[in-house]
Amino acid sequence: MKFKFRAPLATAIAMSVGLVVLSGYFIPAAEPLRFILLRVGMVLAAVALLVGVINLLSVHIRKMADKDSNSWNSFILVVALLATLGIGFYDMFKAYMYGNPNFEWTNWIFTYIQRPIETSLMAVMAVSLVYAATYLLRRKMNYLAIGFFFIVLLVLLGSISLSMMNFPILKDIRSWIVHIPAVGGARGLLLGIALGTITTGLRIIMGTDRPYEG
Amino acid sequence: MAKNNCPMCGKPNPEDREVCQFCEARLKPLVDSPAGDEDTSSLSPGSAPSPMDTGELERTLPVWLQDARGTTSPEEPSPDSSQEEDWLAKFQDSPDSKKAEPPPITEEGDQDWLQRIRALEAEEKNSEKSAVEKSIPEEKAVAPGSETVSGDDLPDWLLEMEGEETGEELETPQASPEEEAPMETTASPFGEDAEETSFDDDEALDWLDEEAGEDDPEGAVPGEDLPDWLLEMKGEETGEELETPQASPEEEVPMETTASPFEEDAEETSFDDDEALDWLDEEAGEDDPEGAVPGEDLPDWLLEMKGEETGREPETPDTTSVEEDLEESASPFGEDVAEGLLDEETDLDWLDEGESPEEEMPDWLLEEKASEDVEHPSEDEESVFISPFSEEKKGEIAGEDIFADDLPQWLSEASDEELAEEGLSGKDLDDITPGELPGWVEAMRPVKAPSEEDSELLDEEEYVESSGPLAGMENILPAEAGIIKAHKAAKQSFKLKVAESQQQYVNLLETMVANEEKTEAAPAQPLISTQRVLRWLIALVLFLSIGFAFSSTQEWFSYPFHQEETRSINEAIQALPEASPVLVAFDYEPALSGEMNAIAAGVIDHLMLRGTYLTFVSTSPTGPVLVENFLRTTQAQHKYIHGQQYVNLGYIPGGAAGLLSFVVSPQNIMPLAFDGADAWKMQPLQEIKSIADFSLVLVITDDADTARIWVEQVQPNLTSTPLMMAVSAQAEPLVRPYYEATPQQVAGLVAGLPGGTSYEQLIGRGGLAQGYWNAFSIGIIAAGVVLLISGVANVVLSQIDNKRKYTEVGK
Repeated sequence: MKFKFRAPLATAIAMSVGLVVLSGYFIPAAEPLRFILLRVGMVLAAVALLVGVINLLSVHIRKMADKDSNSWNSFILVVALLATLGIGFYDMFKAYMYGNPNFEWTNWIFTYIQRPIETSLMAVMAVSLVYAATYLLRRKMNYLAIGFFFIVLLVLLGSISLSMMNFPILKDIRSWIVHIPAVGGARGLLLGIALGTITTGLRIIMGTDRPYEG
Repeated sequence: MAKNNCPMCGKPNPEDREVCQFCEARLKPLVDSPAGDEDTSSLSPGSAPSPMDTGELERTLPVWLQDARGTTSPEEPSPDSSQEEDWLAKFQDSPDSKKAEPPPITEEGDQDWLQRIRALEAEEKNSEKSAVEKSIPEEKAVAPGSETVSGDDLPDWLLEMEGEETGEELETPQASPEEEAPMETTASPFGEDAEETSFDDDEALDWLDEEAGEDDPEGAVPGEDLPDWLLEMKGEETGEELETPQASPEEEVPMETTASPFEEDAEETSFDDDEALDWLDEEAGEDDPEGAVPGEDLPDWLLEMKGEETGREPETPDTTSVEEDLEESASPFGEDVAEGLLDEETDLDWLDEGESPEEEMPDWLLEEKASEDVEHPSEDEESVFISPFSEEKKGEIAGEDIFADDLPQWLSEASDEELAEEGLSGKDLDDITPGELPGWVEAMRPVKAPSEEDSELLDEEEYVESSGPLAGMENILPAEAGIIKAHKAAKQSFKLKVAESQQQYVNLLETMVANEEKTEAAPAQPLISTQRVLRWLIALVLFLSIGFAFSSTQEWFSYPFHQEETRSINEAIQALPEASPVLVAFDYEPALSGEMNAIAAGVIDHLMLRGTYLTFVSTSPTGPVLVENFLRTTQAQHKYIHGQQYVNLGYIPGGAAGLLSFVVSPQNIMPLAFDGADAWKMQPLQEIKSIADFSLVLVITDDADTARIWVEQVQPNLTSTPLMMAVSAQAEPLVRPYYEATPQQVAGLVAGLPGGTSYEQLIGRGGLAQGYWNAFSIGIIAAGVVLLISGVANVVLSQIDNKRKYTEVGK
């Protein structure tokens, strides 16, 4: 019988590391060990990012061989990735060898390629959100939909300083909405997130939950 | 009752059982006990035989046979005991048996009967004629050839035996043969061979003549008509009573010759063919006076024995035939009855085969022969001896119905009627193969050590187990490793039996899964559709409004009034001394850089105005580049130099864990700057040991989760260092609770473009946020107007639709 060593080993490591890091908050003597484990975790995360980039590159290299329309997209991605990587290594070489840490070519790519593209996508999203909001009352008209529609409209218009919007009642309504219901709802979300985080941590420490595919 | 534990299963069995009643393993080994061994039933195969008293061999006989013979315990003859009830004992009470009262046999006579026979033998030579009158005709007729034996015709081993006998004879001339001969002669196969070799041919012929005359039924003495084995039994039963010290040698000689099958073998081998034939003719006439065919009345097991002999003798000319004859002599009726069925030719063949030299004989047979040399039967007890080869007795038995009532079950089953029903004749029975011997006869055969020749035969024909609990058993499979062959286990079918309905569900599921992978082509939309037009219309309104705002230099919208949280940040930065180390985290994505740069521009500007030493980190991979881009695009006027006024430590991997590590020991986690320089050698950072040593921590993020991580992991370690945040409008709702908490986890907050604009207004420096404010406001208004119009239109259209439906329903 083949013994699956991976699952119990991964579980044991997760439990022990979790217990040590948790005990570091309460036991001062365990804090150095906690710090060591945190450093190891940070390095592993950096390696995981590098592994992710390599995996992305290998996947799209394989897709380049496919004779479909998406192969060109993969080709563009691979070329862009390799070009950016080469430029980054070039800027790092210049910075380390010649003491010129301006990262000129890297900033150029970021300023004129990456940021405009992503910003444009955000602009399109703004248009899409407005278009979706126009259909809010078209699909279902009830009190909840009507209330949601008017709250959105009030908050949007309340964020600007129109003279016609400077009515005291409107300002008070917006302030009440932002500071009371919104903050209350956000606190509820944060409390839920905190409880969920604690529960997940305990489950991992107890070995009940194994998100690491153990 | 004594128990006998089974050697195989260990379970107790009654002592009288031959085989285990549980596992049917043999409890008593099938071996001949060596001489001198009290347990005559135990002789391991292959053990060297030793000289033994043939009287002890009687013990090897089955109990029932010993009971029948009455010699089981010579010291305790019990004529009145239960042995009298035995079926054989009834023969003694028959009228014929009463005719012959053999002399009693004493136990002492058994020890040296042969010596006495020797003495009597000498006397016999001198008084043969007179001895003929006293002798019993049947016994003399049995071995007529014994008197014709000449030394020239004898084989060597018989000559040797003769020499031994004569030697023994001289040493023990005074033994009384009457007391011992009956038992010992039946058991010793070669005892009398040497004796009879001293007979002259003439004497033998004369003796045959006398036998012929005495065998006349009409002139026979009462009791002489009885079979000798019946007389022997009678004599044995009364052996204690009769103690005849001397026996006439004339009577011994024929008895000795008839006592053992192997004696006859040796004797008859020296016969001339004519003589032997004559003798056999006489025997035939004596044995079957009524013309009964030999073998017809015999049970089949006896016929099988005969057939086995006749079939085996020509095939096995070696000493094994002699052994088999000896083995068969142990059966109660085997030889004496079966011999009557032998034809003349087979007798002669068999006798010829008996000429095997002594060297070829097995050791145990030689010892038997030697023991026979010492023991001689008494002439007086000839009539009571059981002669396995006395064929005339079988003829008498066959003619009489004495077994009709007294035969045991197993013997009566093989009656003449059955034979007749089966249509078996004597010849048919002769053809019965040896393999069909009864089991009990086979069981009584002693286990012998296979010789080389035997081993060859065994290899070719059959295999006899020579050791272990199965010793002596034939035709068993030898334990060879090659027999056991490993085979692959039969493959079991694990095919799942699926019902028809289940198969339908499976097919449906497979279809659904297959369809999931297929990308359905979007339905072709008309070039001009309502949604497409509306979408383009909304985009056009937004672009035109925002564009118009950017193109206009007029400020249509006043700047928002600063909030309390914005003022908190301003006050905290304003309180910082010059060159204070400030940690700034750029944790936002490039997509939101338009908003985030405008939000953070006023705050960073204020920090630079205060002359703080900025340390930039980021938990986002694009954060370091964003920092450089931000400083180059928004804070170029300050001309901050990397390494002198700020340092970009780069990306902190590991998310919350990395951030926590950085909080504990920033110098160890991020030892180098973004450009590879040693970041912590710079003057403001030399005293930084932990994140709490920074004067202020500012987090610029567009993600509420990132802000939460900073609050949860960093803020508790900051002690007195304030944690400020500049967040996007979408993250404000989740960050504000930390600001409004008590105590505050976030000391100051700049949220969204209105917060950034107010902060710039607060510090009194126009910046990026104020430049965006008109466009932002117009865009918000345009979006609000679109939403309002679309909302009203949706309400109107929905009402129209409802009326249309009502009218259709009413119609």
